[in-house]
Amino acid sequence: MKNLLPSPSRRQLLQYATAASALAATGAIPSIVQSAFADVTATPAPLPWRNWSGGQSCQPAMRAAPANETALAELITGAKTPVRAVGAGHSFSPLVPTEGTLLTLDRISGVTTHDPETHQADVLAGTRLAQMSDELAKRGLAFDNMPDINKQSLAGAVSTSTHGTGAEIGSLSTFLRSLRLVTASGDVIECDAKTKPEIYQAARVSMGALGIITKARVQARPLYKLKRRTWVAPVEEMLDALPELETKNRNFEFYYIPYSGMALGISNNETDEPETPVPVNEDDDGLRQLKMLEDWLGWSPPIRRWTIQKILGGMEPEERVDYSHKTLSTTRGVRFNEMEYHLPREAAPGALREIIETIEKTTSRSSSRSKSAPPRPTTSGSAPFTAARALRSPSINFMNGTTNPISKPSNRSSANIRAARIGASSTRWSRRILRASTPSGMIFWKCGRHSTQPASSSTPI
Amino acid sequence: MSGTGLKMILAALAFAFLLGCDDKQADLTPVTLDARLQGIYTHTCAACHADAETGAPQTHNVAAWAPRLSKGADVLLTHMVEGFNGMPPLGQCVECSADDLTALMHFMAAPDKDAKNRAPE
Repeated sequence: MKNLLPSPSRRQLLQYATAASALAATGAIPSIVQSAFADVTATPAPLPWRNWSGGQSCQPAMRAAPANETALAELITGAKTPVRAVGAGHSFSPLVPTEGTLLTLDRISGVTTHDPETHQADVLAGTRLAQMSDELAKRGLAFDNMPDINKQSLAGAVSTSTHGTGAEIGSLSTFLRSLRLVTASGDVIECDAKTKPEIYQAARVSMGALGIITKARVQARPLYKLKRRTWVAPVEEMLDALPELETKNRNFEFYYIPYSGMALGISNNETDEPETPVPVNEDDDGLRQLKMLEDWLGWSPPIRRWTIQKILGGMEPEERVDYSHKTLSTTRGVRFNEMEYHLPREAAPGALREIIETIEKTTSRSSSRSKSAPPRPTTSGSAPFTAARALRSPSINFMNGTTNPISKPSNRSSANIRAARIGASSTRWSRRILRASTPSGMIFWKCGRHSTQPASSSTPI
Repeated sequence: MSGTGLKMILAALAFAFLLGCDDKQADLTPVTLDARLQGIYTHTCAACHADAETGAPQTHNVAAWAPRLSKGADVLLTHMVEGFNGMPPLGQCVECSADDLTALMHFMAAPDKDAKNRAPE
């Protein structure tokens, strides 16, 4: 039914709701405000390394940033072991921590050449995906897909089977056509599907185990545009429409907002329409207000649910047209930890419903977040997948308790594999919603395909 | 005087005052990086500090950096090393030392060499 009255803006809605809920609040200072002003004075020395989310750390004896492949080969043979290479540190798995040598390929970066006929390009391993996308775009090229974070290095993203959405699109490792690898003995191996194919296939998602990738030839395609549509709907409506949404959209994903019954859908489809203006990030105030609203109404889950539904339910869909690397990848102002699970597609909706139920029944702001779920069978597959993310501590503690990560060593005897991914994208909508999310973060459904490499299923990034 | 001009002056005064409290003083003089640090800046820092959409304080935006600098050098270094809010640990610069991080921060917090971006003195 169409509203007869003009709708207030989202910001106005948030302001009204926040003001109203503040009156009903207990008077306690929201934890987010307390933490925002927490002072930290300790200065560690020497500097430790931490990954992006802060979930992994180490104190390497040596750090090195070789300037080229030759320097890397010389260094690697005499370096204190274990030697680990790190890109942007976006893996949540313990791939990087070492007491030996930590290598960065930051100085080995850039797009060196491209072939306008085949649309293939040579990219140095340390090139960050955002930089690579910009350089490819200048050459009229783009990747067929991108992950929703583009800060990773190419080698890191490929080695960990970093992926985007899209049921018929492979992970970044599937875009490789050849690669160069420096082994632990300092030898340089160049391989592709015909030359040393066994090494090539294994090295594409080797997580650094076979050596350090220094360069890759990648398959791109002519630059193209996507129309990104973002909308809010009841989660049950989203789940019921999944088969259609997955097949009719080039890329599709959705986020569930715990305790709200609402989900944020995001689709991308190719278009020739003119680019639309880049959305201005004007919602920081709104985000804070929504977060405070969520905090202040934590004492009454039904009222919180009703209020958030009212706010989100009145929002109009948003559309943006831009080049693919700009609509597929996003900016993350909020760091988080993530768990990722692979399930048969048909099993995922039921699993997702169970996760939602588990989270909402077992947690609230004041309750324990460490309850363990009963053991569940582990299922992994190559194509359809779903994933779980959680915002930083303490959320990750809760998520670890209820749904053990399959890629992370755990004291628990079993893994409860359930469909979810928690995170957000860069639209104003989703940024707002992520920051307004509950302690358990966001549950995110993603349908896509990993590499055919078997190792991919255990490395969320 | 326009509101914007007044804000710029107030920001510059606040910036100067806050820096005056720091034992390792920075000032409104533009900072020049050597080639190595310039490369690091381009490869890592600029990904966020030259992209307003990220919400990070933008390079050479003196007013945006002033409240950060007021926290003091030790706190800022800790935030840079450990990560803070959207700031990733080490600013994703694996090879950076503490001195490197501090120098990069001073570069970004100082005005641009281009006078038109420079705060009023």
